Amino acid sequence: MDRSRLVTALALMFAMIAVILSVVNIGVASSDSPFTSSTETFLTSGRAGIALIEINGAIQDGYYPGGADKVVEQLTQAEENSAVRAVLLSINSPGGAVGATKKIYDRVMQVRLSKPVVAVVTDLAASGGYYIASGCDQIFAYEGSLVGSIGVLSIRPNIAGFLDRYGVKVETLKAGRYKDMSYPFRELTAEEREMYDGFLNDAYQQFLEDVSKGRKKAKADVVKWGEGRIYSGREARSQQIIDAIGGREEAIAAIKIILKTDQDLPLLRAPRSMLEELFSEAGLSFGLGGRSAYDARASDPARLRMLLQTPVLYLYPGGPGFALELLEGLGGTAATLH
Amino acid sequence: MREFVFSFLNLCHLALQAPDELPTAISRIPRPVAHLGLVLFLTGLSTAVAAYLTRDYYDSGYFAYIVGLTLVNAGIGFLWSLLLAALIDGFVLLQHRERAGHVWQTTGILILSTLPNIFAVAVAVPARLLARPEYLLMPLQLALFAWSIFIALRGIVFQYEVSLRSAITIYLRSLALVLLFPFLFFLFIILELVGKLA
Repeated sequence: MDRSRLVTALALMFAMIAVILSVVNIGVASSDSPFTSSTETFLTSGRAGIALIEINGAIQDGYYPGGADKVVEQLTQAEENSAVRAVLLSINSPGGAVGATKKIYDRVMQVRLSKPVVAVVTDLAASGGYYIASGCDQIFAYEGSLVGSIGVLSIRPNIAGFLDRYGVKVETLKAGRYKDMSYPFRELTAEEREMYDGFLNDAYQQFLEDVSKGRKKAKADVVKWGEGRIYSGREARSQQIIDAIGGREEAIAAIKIILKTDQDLPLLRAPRSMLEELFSEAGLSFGLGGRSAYDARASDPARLRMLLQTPVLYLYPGGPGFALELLEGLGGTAATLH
Repeated sequence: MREFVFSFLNLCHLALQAPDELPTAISRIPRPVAHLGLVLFLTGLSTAVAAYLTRDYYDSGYFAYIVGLTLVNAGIGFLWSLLLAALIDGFVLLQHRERAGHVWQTTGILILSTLPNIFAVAVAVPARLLARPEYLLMPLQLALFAWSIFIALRGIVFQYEVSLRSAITIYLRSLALVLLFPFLFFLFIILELVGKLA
């Protein structure tokens, strides 16, 4: 075989190897998208879009719609799916449990390495809600949205006085001096209070560090936003706690700029089960994950009751609804306690 | 098998590097259908994979899509070459009666002229890495298309012993007819219907 024929043979071999490797690559990268476009037509079907992932209400661990495990799963699917070019995180949350929040934040930071992740705050992204948002490339909120509340909370009710009033005595048998420190039947000792302060401060420092990392700001700047301060969208914008004023449309425009594309990118939603759809449409609460009108205030009593079992919270206990539900969550009705 | 591979490689070599010799080579290859069929399959496969590769995302139906598109590409490649060859031969017949009558050889030349499309995947792979793949994909695909036309024209020149200018004219006329045929067909139907209604 002369040299020119050898060149042709090598070129053809190269072309065929490229074909085989491409088919293998397609096979590996192919997946049935869990995200579907709500405006899918013949022309737009099969086109890539932006995955819309919603975080509504109190952030709690678990595999139910809105639960941390479910959100993490959706983020992973969005990261792995080539149909998803970016993620739009719609946040309306007062925060929640420390571990669940951190779990979502870490996943957001991971997804951000390969795809743009932009957060849109509708009403509230406080405490854990903002913690997660800070992991995104950009944060959008409306002028009147509430943002911030960087701080840590531990709710430890003390019902000793109430029990005394009704002559109820609770005897706790324990091995271990501090074993009952979380019980609501006595005052905390100074030592126990110091322990609480210790782990609250640890969680707070972690919060500040992660926001600093996510927002690419010095920790000193983030400290100024902290101490549990809450900001309106406008004020948050002026202090660079968020990036811009706007909702989904503005966020999508920002994503297109990041992706350097002028293509029409439809919003892709993870399909909901029939039951979720039914209960959501009816405005009812579905288990722990339903979206009732009070969800954004963490006021689903069942969810709140679970949250109250968590010692440290990234939670913004805002609104009268929360206070009433808090009392309910503690085991009695507001009326009884009055 | 070994002989087939070598004769196939030789044919590809002539198509890509010495298209002038294609008319002679096609008339001498032992199993023309197998050779040309393999060319159609490989170019069809490469084009199908390239088309799928430049999609925004891949789903689990990729295999059926690629196989289906390969068959469609190969089928269209064959029909297109056959129609174009018949027309080219017809135009040659009008000008040089004694040189016409080589529809099958011309079909072979036109099928082999699609060989540059075998590099469609090699073009699509780097294009996909860019934010705007079309900026690289379009010029490279045009280059492959130009290469195809060059092979076809050189083949026609040596098949019918016509000048390059005549070959271009014949090729363009035939191409225009193939492209316009569906429209002419519908125009004819419409005119017939209008005539009947009138």
